Formats: sequence, C-alpha cells, structure tokens
Amino acid sequence: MLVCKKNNNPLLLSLLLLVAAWSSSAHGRDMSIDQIEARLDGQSIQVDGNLTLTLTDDVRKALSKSIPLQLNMEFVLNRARNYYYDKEVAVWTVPIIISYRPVSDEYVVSRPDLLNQEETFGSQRAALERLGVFNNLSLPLPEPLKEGKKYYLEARVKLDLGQLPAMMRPLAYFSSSWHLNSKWTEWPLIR
Amino acid sequence: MDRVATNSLKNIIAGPVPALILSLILLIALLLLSFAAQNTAKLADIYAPLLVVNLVGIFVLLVLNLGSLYKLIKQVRSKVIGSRLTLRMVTMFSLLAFLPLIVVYYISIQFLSHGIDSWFDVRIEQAMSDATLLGQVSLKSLKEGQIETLIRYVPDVENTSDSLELISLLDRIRREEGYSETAMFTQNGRILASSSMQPGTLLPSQPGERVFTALDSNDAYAEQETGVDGSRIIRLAVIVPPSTVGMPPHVLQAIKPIPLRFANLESSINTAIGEYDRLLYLRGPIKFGFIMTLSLVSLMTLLLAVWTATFSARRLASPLRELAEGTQAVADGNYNTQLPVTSHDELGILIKSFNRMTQQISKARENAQQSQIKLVEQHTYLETVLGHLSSGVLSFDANQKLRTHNSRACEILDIEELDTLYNKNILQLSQALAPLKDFFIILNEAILANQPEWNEEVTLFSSHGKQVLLCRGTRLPGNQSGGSGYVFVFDDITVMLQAQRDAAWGEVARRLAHEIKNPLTPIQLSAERIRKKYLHTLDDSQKQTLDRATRTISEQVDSMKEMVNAFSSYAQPVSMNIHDVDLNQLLADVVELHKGHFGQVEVTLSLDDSIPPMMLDSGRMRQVFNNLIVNAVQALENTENAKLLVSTQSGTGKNEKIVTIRVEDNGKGIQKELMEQLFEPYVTSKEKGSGLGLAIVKKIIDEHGGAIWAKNMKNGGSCFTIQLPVKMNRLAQQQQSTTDKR
Repeated sequence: MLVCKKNNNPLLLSLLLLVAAWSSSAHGRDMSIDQIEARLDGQSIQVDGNLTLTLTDDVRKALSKSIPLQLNMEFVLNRARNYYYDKEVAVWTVPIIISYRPVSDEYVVSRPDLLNQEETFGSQRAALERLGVFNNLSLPLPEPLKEGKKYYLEARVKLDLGQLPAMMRPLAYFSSSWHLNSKWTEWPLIR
Repeated sequence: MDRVATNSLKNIIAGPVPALILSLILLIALLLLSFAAQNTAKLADIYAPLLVVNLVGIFVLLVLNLGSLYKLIKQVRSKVIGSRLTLRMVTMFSLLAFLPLIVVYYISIQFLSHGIDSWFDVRIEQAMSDATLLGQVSLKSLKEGQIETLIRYVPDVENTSDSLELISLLDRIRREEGYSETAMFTQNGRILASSSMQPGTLLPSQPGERVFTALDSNDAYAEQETGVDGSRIIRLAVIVPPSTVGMPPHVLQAIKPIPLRFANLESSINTAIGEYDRLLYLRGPIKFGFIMTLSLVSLMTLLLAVWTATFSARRLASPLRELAEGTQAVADGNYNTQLPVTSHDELGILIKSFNRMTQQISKARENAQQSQIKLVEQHTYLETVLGHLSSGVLSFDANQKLRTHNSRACEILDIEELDTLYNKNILQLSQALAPLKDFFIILNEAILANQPEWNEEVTLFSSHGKQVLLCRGTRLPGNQSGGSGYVFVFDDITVMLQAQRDAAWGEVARRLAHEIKNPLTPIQLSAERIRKKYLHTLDDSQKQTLDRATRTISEQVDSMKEMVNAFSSYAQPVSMNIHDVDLNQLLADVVELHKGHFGQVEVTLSLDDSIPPMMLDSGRMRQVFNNLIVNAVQALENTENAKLLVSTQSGTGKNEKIVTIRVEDNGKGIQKELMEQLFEPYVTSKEKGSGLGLAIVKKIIDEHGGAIWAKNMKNGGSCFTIQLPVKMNRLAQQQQSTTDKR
C-alpha cells in the first residue's frame, strides 16, 4: 500500500529500536540506495531507482520458512530554504512484500497497493534483484509544488519489523540481524 | 501551595496508592502481554507497546526498589532507629518471595520449553515434508511433460517460414494442447506470431528478461506464474533453431492454464505447508516470547514483592521506631512525649501503654517539681526568717555536721563565711575556727548530752574584749535512720548585760548621791559650828586636836561631796549639746592643753585630714579625751622613752562611715584582772582615783553611739580605741557626697 502521510514515526517502535540500537549500530549496512531519479510529472513524481538488497542469514532463513517480509521504501520530499530548516512537503511509504511458496518452490514479490500484480521467481536472489529495480514509481503530490523553489527527495529502504508475525517481533526487535535498513539519501527533483 | 498541602501531596506520593496503581497497570499490561504472546489477533498488534509499557514499568519498579534499598542502607549506616529491623524484615520477606518464585520460574521454563517442542510432532513434520516434495515432484513432472509436449512442435515451427502458416500452426498447437496462448518471439523479444484463446487479445504475454536469461543456458523454460487475471499458469518457452544457418534462433512460448482444482489444491497445500513451516520456524521465537513474558512476570513479581516487603517492613517497623525514639526522648528527659496510635493491634496497645507511662511520669515530675518549688520556697522563707533573726542560729545533723546557719551567727561570732564549712563536723569547725574553739566544744558537749533542751551562757574572749552569749539548744526530730540533729540559737547579751550593769551602777550612784550628799552639808556645818564654838575655849593642845579633827571632817566632807558630785554626774541623764565639731582640731586642742604636763613624754599626733566635721558634744568629747590623755600620761610615769600616740583614722564600718581614735602609750599597761571590768565604776588602779573616769568615758561614747575598748600592746603599754559613727549635718553630708564623687 502506498501511504502518503506527514508523520510516520511511531514513538514506541523508536523506543524499541533505541533499545536495540547498540546491536544495529555494530552491524554493517545490508541495504543501500544506489541510484534514484525523481522527475516531476504533473501532480506526481515519477521515480526510477536501483537498490542493493542483501538479507542476513537469519532473515533469508525466515523467508525460506514462509515468513513473509515487508520492505518499505520511504520517500520524503523537502523544499530547500536558505535561512531556515528545510520544509518537509510530503512523505510516502511504498511497501513491497516478498514471500515464499514451498510447494512451487518460488518467491513471490507483490505490492499490496497494486492488486493482482505479483511476480514469481525461482530463487531468492532473482526476487531480490527484481526488487532492487523499480521504474516509473508514481508518488502523488498532496499539493502543487511552488515555482522557482528547489525541491529534493530523501529516500530510504527498510525492513518493516512491525509486519512480522507477532511472536517474531520480540526476537526481531532484540536481534541486530533483523534491523535492515539503508541510509537516508538525498536526490534532486528534476522538473 | 502551603505546607499542609505539600505534606499531604508528599504523603500521597510516598504512600501505597501510587505503587498499587502502578502495580495494577503492570499486572494488566503483563496479562495482555501474555495474551499477545499467545498470538491473540487483536492483541498481537499492541505487543510492542505492551512490551514497552512492561519494560518501563519494570524499570520504574527497579528504580523504586533500588531507591528504597539505598535509603534503607543509608539509614542503617546512620544508625537510624528501626532501620536495622526494617532491613532484616525486607531481607526475610524478599527471600520468602524469591525462593519459591525461582523454583516456579525454573519449572515453568522447563515445562514451557518441552510443551512447545511437543507441539511439533515428528511424524507430522515428515508428512509435511513429504507432501511438499510430492507437490514439487508433481509440478516438476507437469512442467516437464508440458515442455516435452511443446518441444514436439518445434520441428513443425522450425519448418514454417510463412507468417500466416506460422499463426495457423500456433493456433493449432494452442487448441490441440489446451494452451491459453502461444506465441513466437525473436531472442530480443520481438513478436513474430501469436495465437490466443481470447479473440480480442492483440499482444501476447511478454516473456520477461529472466525467461530469455534462462533460455541462454537451457533449451527450455517452464515456470508457474500468476496471470493477469490472478489465475495460475505455467509459462513454457523453448528454443526454436533457425531454419537458415547463421540466423538467430527464435523462442516458442506457450501459456498453459493450470486447472482450477489443481491450482486450488496447490494453493491450499502451499498455505498449509507454509503455515506449518512458519510455525516450525517460529518455535524459537515463540519460546523466546513466552520465556520473555514469563521472565518479565517473574521479575515484576519479584520487584513487587521486594517493594511490598520494603513497604510492609517500614509500616511494621514504623511504630517500633517511633516507640524507640519515644523511649530515647524519655531517656533524654522529655517526659511529655506522646506517640500517635496508628493501629489497634498489640503494637497499638504497647504505644498506648507507653503514652500512659509518659503521662504518669510527666505528672509525677510535675508533682516533684511543685514539691521542689515548695521546698525552695520554704527554704527561702526559712532563710529569710533566719536572716532577719536578731539571734544567731546554727544547726547540726545527726553526724554533728553543720547544716544551717544565718548571717546573724556570723556577725555574732565574727566569722566571715560559714558556707564553706558545711558538711564539717563540730570538732572540725573548732579546729578551723580556732578563736571559737571553746564555743564549739561547749556546743559539742551539749550535743553529746543529748538533752531535748539546753541552755547556757557562754563567755568568749576576743580582740574586742569579753563577749557573753546566751545559748539555747534544741534537739531536732529524728529522721528515718533514727539520727537526730541539734539546733542552737544564741544571742550576744554582752551589751545588754553591760547596760544592765550600767543601769545598776547608775541607780547606785543616784542613791549614793541622794543618800550621802544630803547629810554631808549638816556634817560639814556641824563641824564648822563645833570648831567655831569650842575652838577658842580649849587649851592649846585640845585646840590643836579639835582644829585638826574639824578640818579633817571638813576636808573629807568636801572629798565626799566631790565623789558624790561625780556619782551624780555619772548617774544623771545627760542633755547632749550636739553640733559640728572638727574632731582633729578638738584632739589637737586637748593635747595642746596638756602640753605642760607631758614632761619627758614624746607626744605624736597622727590625724587623718579626710575626717569630715562630725555632730558631737564637744564638751563631753573633750572630757573623754582629757581623761584618756591624763590616764596615759599617768601610766607613763617612771617610763623611759615614754611615748604617747594620738591618732585618728576614717574608715567604713558594717553599714556606715566611722572614725577610729586611738590613744596609745608604751607605759605599764592595764592589769589583767582589771581588763574585764575596766569601764565599770569603782574600777581603778590609782590610789586616789574614784574609779568613775573610764566609766564616764564609756558612758559619753555610748551616748554618741560609739564604742570603746582597751587592750594591752604586745610591746608593753596600752591602747584605748574609740570608734565613732560619722554623723554630719545636711550641708556637710552634701559636701562630703560631692567630695566622694570626685
């Protein structure tokens, strides 16, 4: 589901993440955003991009054991200001789910916001590679952009622990191998 | 906010209510967490918040407990009353809670671990694995069959070069094999021909890049996919070799719809096996979740138990602490201590008893204080009475130790201080006050006689002369130990005796004057008449005898007249002629008057210039000084290096200013046997003296309110000392006051 909202920082989860920060900070980055191209297209922004998604052994094992994973691509559109903090214009979260079907031994990549659009892959690697490439991802603007102003897009991808089965969450919150996310990166908005 | 409100708020915060509310919240949160751990759908979503609430709650409880323990240990180190007992009770209660809890926790962990493991039966796991394998084999077989089928058509396709024929062939293959779609692509994905079940479909389903990638390494591709309409399909693709050498091969693709029943079965099996795999995988996390929940519950229970133990121990020890503090306060002398009664149990009864005890002690103390005050008042009253008695009082206890005296006793006995001699017995007193040794020995004898009443006149001799004391003793009532003391009351009756004696002598003198003076004149007249009548009638020898006899009678009568006049003078009440007198000048005049009589006597006048004019009868005082100087000159007869010293000196007596006059000679001194009665009439060492001179001197001094005494000097000679109070007229008093101030 593509969500457009101004604030999506759950306090409680942040607290839990703080508890686990010691472990995640020690862990290397497993995800990165290699390239983003954001173009203004009327009342939306079209985004193309390449991501590198590497899962840890624990996460890969869980996926192979039919635990669906939800990756959230998070975008924040900011307006640059010279003499003050930059203004946050809009926030989007694009969820992508990857799951495994044991009988057909295939990995399914789907987007909850787009019904009946799922792709199956014979291997985990193929599925992740497919996930790492997206074209023409449309992000609707809540309001028209101001002329003559400079905008830029921040992007991040992270594994949504809140979507894991409830019984897994405590372990995931306390385990560094489950804290997968990329750094926030900034990309100019091309008009 | 005022202090009362602040204290109330503090009491509420420190009280059990906040902790109970916190505990209740934590218990509810734990309960919910427990339900959430069991994957209750609604609660699963709030698992994380519940976990946070519990962790925060446990942290708060931990901080509360650590704070309480720190405070308690600090109190123990500071030796606060009751803190040790509280610590002991906290330790005991905590152990009582901890030991069963740790046993239950261990058993629960074991039970939980084995219980969860038992959910996953080995046979079911195997069956699931077999079913998965079976499904995979079936699907593989289906795919392989479909590939083989499609490959059979490859030669036909390879030999068809015409487009229309190719479309016709693809259509035939689609219909013969039940494909939903067949299509021919170049290797870069361009469509050469296609046939579809759906007549309106213009473009066939495009094979993805992965299809071409797969065909790079294999001749065929067969994978399940979800179609655009959500149905399950198998995408089949095979390489069609080029008909002409050098041309690129083509790709033949066919879409085989999976039968709905087969697709449903596959989906169902996928779901079931997926669920089981997931459950199997979640075994560890489930254990972790349950164990964590159990651990949180145990930890919170333990912390609550410790906190409850601390709170209860404080509550239990609080009355004991207050009691101990109250006891300490009583020990420190605060007998009004009252403790609040907060319970009605045994401790409450104990505190009530303590309060009653302190009340009684306080009352007893008040009574004792009142008695003490009364005693002090009585003592003050007694002291005041004793202090204003004209009699001296001395009391001794059963051990003959001095217990009481009054100031008059010191005055009479001429002692500076008796307070320092308290607790000394009577014999020690006689040693400490040597001049009064005889006095105390007599008192001691009276005590030893142990008579209820005792009365005796005691005569003391001191530098001031003879002192007669009238002493009365009374045995005091005995105390519980049976001993009894003695109280002596004594009066100095020396002056009174002297006055009585003087009065007696005065009466004698008056009677003598009256009885003797009257016949003297007739006797003298008769002697004169006899002489006158018979002298010329007698012969010479008789004449001589008569003349001598009448002359003797006349002389003796004159002498007796003089004596009678002297007695009369002594006995007559005197009218004083008081006026301002310069004492030094008066003395100088008298000395000057007698200058012709001094002969070889060396006279020295030593006069104090500071003596103010005094109110005196100058004539009578002149008589005094005449008498004393004449007596001194007479005493100096036949004395070598005869010296006479006349001196004056001003000073301060007990309550007033006095002037001391001394007439001192180095003559033969006063006979000891005369010393006691020196100032009484008819006491004289002179052959021709009437014995009234010093008696009159004393009388004159007495009339001026002074005193006179005499003593023999160590180096010979005697000294007469007169002390006169300085009495000045008002003007002189003002002048003297001004001089003193300067």
